[in-house]
Amino acid sequence: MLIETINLTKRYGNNLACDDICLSVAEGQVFGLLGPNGAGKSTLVKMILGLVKPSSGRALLNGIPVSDPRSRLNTGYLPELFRFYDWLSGYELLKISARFYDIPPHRQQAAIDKALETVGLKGREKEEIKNYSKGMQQRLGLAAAILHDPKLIFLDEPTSALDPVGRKEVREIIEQLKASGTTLFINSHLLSEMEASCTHLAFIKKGRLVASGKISDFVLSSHQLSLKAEGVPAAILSEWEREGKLLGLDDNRTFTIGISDEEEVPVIISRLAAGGVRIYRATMHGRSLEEVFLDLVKD
Amino acid sequence: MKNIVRLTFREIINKKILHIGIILTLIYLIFYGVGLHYLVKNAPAGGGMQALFMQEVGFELLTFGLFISSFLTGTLAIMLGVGSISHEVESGTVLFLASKPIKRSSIIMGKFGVYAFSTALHAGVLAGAVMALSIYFFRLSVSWAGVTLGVLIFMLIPVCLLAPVFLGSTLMSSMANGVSMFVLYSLAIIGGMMEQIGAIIHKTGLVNMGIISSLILPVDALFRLTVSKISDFMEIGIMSQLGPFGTVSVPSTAMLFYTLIYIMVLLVLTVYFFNNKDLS
Repeated sequence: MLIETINLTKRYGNNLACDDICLSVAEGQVFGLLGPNGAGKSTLVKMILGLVKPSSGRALLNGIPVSDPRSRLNTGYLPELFRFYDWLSGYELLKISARFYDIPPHRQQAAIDKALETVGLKGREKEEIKNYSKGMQQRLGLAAAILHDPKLIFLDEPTSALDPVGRKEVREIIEQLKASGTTLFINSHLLSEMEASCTHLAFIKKGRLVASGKISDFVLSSHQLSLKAEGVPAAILSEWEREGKLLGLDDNRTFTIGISDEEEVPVIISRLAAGGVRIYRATMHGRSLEEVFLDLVKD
Repeated sequence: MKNIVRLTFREIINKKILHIGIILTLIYLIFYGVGLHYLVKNAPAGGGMQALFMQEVGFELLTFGLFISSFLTGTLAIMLGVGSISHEVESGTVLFLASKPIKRSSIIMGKFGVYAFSTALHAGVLAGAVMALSIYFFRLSVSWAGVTLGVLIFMLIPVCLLAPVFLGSTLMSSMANGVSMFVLYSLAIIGGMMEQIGAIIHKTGLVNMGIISSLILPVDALFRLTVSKISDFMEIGIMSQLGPFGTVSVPSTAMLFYTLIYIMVLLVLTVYFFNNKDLS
């Protein structure tokens, strides 16, 4: 496991920012942490990175306790509000980053060029950071996070300061990183982006982890099958009703059936066809991540 | 730590307060030099009176010049160091540093090393220039060993101030730290003056007040030690030592060791508090 937290808790006075959080992230996953504002997402990330001290519990990063700085050697981090000494140029910032991660001097230039190219800042690197727009600063932060080719990257609201074009570009960078096998841990409010990028999700509410698993566990587990058919036998209808699968019935021809797995679809269709039912249309609907999110985090 | 040192040098060179400090220091040295030039030009001519004037007034002005220099270098150390940690925390730049695979103690020690080196260098150059001007214009007969030792002790003044400044910067906001440090610095200076007055009029209470203030912040003791080391080998009368910048009550050499331990203890505390600080 690249990340492992065991009963990780952070308390500020009487306020529980994170409560007993146990999660693990394996190599190659794109892990999305979702939750409303103030749920404790950033606190959790900062505890995993050793920036905030847990009140109890422990966390391992790359298999090493987070209190040991070596745990961060193979890790990149883009904070939510990326700030840096604005009197440095973008190039100088990346040079400093390269030194911190012990990139050998002869490889530093190539690593900087590659990172600048990836985030689309090539040609602007000699300008002082104070002259960068918010979006450019965000890209520079991303460049600093990926510069040393880490195994694991934390992205805290990576697209928050970006315009739609910038967001698309960051999404593409995330896809590239995902394809290269880099493990990503993303905090974001943009559910559509999380749905598009993540392989795994965790939901946090008031400091507690309320659900976690593969993305398919959330967005595909609540499929609905919409059927337009004539002559469905009463026995099948009552069976669906008994099992709580019949979610809707309009004019005796349009049915909405809840299914837990898309493998159920051909089974249902075959059974109906075998029973002489005329099927005009069969459509599958999944629940959006937004619906799942709202269900999980609402009070 | 090497990377922190490099980054901090880059940071400190970029600080406007350092540029202003250097410009003010140059202006001060020019004023001081011009002042000494005209004083010497108008000195009583010939005989023992002139010799007395040159030695006594020369020494008096040297101590005055060093006192103002200690104030200048002390203020610069406070102004430079006051946001050394707190500003990084307030602005969020600390996340960049602390998320790197480095120990937090390296951040403190690297930064402190650069700030201490820079301000000590400023103090050394300033004290050296003031002494050189005084020696040149007043033809003071000094021991070079005494002067060197004096300059070295003087260089400890900003370092000694930086230790509590760094601790404060870890625990407080830049503003609160700045206010607290100027109050503490004023207390140390006033305490030091009380001690000298107490020594002149033989009031133990006043002397003890000075000793206590020196234990809280030993900068005035360092200044008095500087003056005492310079004057050790000079033929000056007691009258010169009676001024507000002279040294009637000479701090013991143990005060030097106390200062070094003081700096180390405060640095250990700074590292301890920074290690346990939530950086959010």
